[in-house]
Amino acid sequence: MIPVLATLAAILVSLAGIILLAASDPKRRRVFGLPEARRRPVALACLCLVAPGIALLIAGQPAAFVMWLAAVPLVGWALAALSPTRVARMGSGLFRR
Amino acid sequence: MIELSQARSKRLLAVHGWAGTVLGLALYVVILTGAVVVFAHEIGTWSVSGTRAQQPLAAPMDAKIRELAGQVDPEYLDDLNLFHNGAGHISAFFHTHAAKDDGHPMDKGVRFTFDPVTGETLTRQEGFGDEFEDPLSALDHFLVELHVNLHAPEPVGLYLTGILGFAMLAAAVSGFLLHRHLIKDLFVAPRLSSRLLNARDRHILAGSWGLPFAFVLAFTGAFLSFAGSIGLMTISMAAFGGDQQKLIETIIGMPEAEDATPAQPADLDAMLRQSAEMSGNGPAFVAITHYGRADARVYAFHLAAEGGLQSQQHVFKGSDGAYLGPKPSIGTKPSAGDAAFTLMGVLHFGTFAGLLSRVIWFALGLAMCYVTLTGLQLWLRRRADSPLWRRLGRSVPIVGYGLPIALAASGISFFLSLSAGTMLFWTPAGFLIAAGLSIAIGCLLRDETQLYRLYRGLLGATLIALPLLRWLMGGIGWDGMLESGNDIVILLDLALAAGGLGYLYIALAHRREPRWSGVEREVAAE
Amino acid sequence: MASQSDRGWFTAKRTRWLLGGPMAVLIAIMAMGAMPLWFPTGAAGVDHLVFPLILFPALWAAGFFYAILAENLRRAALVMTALALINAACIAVLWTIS
Repeated sequence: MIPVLATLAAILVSLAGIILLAASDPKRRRVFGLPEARRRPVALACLCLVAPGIALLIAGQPAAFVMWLAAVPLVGWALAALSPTRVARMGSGLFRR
Repeated sequence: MIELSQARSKRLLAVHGWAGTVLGLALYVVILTGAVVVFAHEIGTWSVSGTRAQQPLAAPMDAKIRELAGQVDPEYLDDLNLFHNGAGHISAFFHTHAAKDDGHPMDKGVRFTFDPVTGETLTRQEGFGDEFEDPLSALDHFLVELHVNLHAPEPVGLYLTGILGFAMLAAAVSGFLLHRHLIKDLFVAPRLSSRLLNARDRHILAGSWGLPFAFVLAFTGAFLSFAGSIGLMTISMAAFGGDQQKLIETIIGMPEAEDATPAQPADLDAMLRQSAEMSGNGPAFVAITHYGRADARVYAFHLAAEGGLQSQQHVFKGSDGAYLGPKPSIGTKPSAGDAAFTLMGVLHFGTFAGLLSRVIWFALGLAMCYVTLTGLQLWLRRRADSPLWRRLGRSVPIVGYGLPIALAASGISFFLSLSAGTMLFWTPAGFLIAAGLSIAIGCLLRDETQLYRLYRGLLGATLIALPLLRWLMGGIGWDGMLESGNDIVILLDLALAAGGLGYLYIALAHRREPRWSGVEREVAAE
Repeated sequence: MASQSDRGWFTAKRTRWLLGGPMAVLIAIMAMGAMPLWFPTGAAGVDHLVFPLILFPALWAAGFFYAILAENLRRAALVMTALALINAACIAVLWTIS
């Protein structure tokens, strides 16, 4: 059970990094007519992105590491494929409830 | 990202486009079936409504093996392989090393199957190792063979899938070199300004994120296809005078000096119990060499323990049961070659860490399918003015939807023929019939929107039919599954039903066509 | 590249097809066959047999993309022919000592 939980946790932390990068990405914002982001915490986002992988390697969890490595691009793609307008619509839908 | 001269870009684009277009649909067949066979073992168990023994090779079987050994030609005691199918039946293949008419090395002997719970012998077949029939594994074998060699004869099938691996490798590398703004475009969601731009964005986004594993899956797949065919042949010709068997023996680890003195075999169950304790799980495969001789060896092969990647193998002395130590899959002691070989399998199969790794690899496969299909769509959109390409373009929805429909249909006909026991014939027949029907529909129905709806509806219906038919024909409901630890059957039932409902929903729901905000404009050729 | 176009059948395009197609495959197969001669045998004495098998797709991809990307086609043809000959020689040596 530990490798599964470690993998899922690592994916979640990396997901946070990807969200930070996507939300403040200049081209993404320009293409969808949004004002430029005030801050772009690239260092923090990249740390969130890669730290879980390094942690898994140090913790001696090779299986979890390989699963994390394969899952992060998938998660990143799924997230990047959602347009900001769609994300906003989903967000407002959540809050209305 | 990488600056290329115009001529180079043009040539790379030609490689990328034509590799994807000419081989794209065949590649899609291999990738989608590959995604499905990540669950091959689970599908095998599911198709027979679960197994009574969760770890069949951990059940006591020493007495049964002794009994069966007495029933075969002593020549076949040379080697004994023990493995199990999805139904939990154990195969005991007593054999010796022989060659087929074309000189290809192949094991020859007698194969029994028996039930590890009751000890009852179920079948006895004699011949070459690749000729045995196992109707209960018809569905998973059919799917695996489709992925591995497209059901073409050996070695042609392996060459075909190997060449497709090369095409995928070429497409991945050329795609990487071509896309100058890889990092900059990594977060640009597909734009809705025009149909063409949307198709381009979708393909590039999925391709960019999928790039690392497209490369990994293509590389490892090409290795798996070519190593056993052209690879062993070339190296054996260059370094072993053409003797493939000798090369294989050297790679796996030289057998020790022979001692043909007869000796009573020690208790197999005790050895396997000890091996399971050391490995953390029951054996997945057992091989016994020189059964009944003083130099007998028992090799117990275990899948990676929880959290690890490396499978394990333990060796015992067959005559007195003494533990001789661990053995890598390749060579007699740990080496870089063994580690690299293991990694190839781990990265290609994705079955190293239970359900989670399988789900991730399945999703990777589907993502690759998406990249292939959107690439084809982009190619066609760019040539929308050409009547010839428009006509050829029909093949994309036909294969895109026809293949999953036909795969589901092979499962449907497996269940329908279960009671008659004719699964070996009807599983591929069902696939072919559904594929033929899908092609006919695609050729006859003119309206594209209607065609997509019909295909989605058919896919939804066939997917939903699978768990229903399994339940009707297998006769075992979910309560029985939980009791016997066959949760995987329930999970697959639910996954198929959910997928089916999803497709039915998008087939029936009235969805508005996206409104393209901008005019069709020139899109950069990359 | 243009200098190739006046050489009868061997136009630039055909030469590139030959180099990227059959030649890249040929070199990959020959390099795989020749590798056991010079590759270190490793701890278990099998690395020189296993790594050629594993590296075969990489050998092919290297030759293929070299042929596609080369600007100087004449040099590419010379390099690839030389590689094929060297590997053929290695295989011949391997053959005689095995």
